[in-house]
Amino acid sequence: MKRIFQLFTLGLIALTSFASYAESASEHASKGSRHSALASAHSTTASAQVASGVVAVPLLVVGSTASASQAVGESLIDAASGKHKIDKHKPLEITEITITVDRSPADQMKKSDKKD
Amino acid sequence: MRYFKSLILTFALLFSLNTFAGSQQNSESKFSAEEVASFAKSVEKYAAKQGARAFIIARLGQPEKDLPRGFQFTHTAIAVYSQITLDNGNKAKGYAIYNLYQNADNPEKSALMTDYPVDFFWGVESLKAGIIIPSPDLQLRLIEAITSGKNQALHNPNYSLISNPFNNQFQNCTEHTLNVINAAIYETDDMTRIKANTEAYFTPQPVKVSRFKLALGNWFAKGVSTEDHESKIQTTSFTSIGRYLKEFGLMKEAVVYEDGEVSKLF
Repeated sequence: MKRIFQLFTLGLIALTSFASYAESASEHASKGSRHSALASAHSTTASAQVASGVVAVPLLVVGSTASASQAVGESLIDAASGKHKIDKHKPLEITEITITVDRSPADQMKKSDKKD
Repeated sequence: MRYFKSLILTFALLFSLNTFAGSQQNSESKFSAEEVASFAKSVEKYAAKQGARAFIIARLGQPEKDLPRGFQFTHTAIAVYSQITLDNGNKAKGYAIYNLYQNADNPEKSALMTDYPVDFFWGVESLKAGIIIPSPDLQLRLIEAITSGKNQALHNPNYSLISNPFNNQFQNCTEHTLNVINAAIYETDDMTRIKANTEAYFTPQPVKVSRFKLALGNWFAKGVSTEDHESKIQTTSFTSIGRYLKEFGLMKEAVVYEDGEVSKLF
């Protein structure tokens, strides 16, 4: 009897460990539904939009260092030192568009089909 | 009857350990899409108002009462002010977030992913954000570390929820964030140097979970290991990163953002 309980316990423990991660296992499928949920939520408000972000490039640092060459230059270079600097008091512009990761392949195919 | 009690106890312990799950990418949203989008946008606007080009961002993915003492958030990453090209070809300005996420189908492994605030906060337990804004100089170095790919060079895909920040046997999202911060500070991707300096200057968060529970997690929960620890279990937390930056004069502010209001992180 004791052995049966032990085996049962171990089995359930193993199942519990897997079950605790089951929720996140649906993440890939959910990306499409996230995009759809956001799109339908925003369709009820006139001003807001939702879009997929394809690529993000840091907005900083005009060029002297090799590592900074991939960034978009818009920030300030200190005239005296020639070094990059951040204007710590300057508020930054933020788009009103809700940007999300790109659609899943399945969702993208559905979207493409609708166009045809 | 005694065995039944043991069974219930074991379940309770495992569930309580597993609720302290941190770096998984969020899947289901507890709040409406509009609520999450609005909150995410307000966090972006708060950081932008402070002029933050790069900041450390955190979310609460589990009920706060289930977290071990000393932990306020469950997932940490780096947000960088960016020009984002949209799928329609237009360009927009906002924050992109550089994450280490635990793999959903293989919890012992992780992957680096870039996403956006609404993705980051999707599925959170509370509409509550941790925000640490580094000093302007460190912001600049963080951006350089990311644009030069140091975050990728430093990624160790072997995941443990309670990874030891003093070695590189395992990594979780918060330790990865700390590694990138130190890579930025020391302008290096030499992991040996980064770990030596972490041990010299960083104070991790002790994990106040019973040895029995940790042993159970070690044996049965994928993505939880104590192999990289010696006698004391300690890991990186969002708050310990804030204290580290403050101690060395590298922090502008550390706040908790909730309901449109901010309070001090510590």
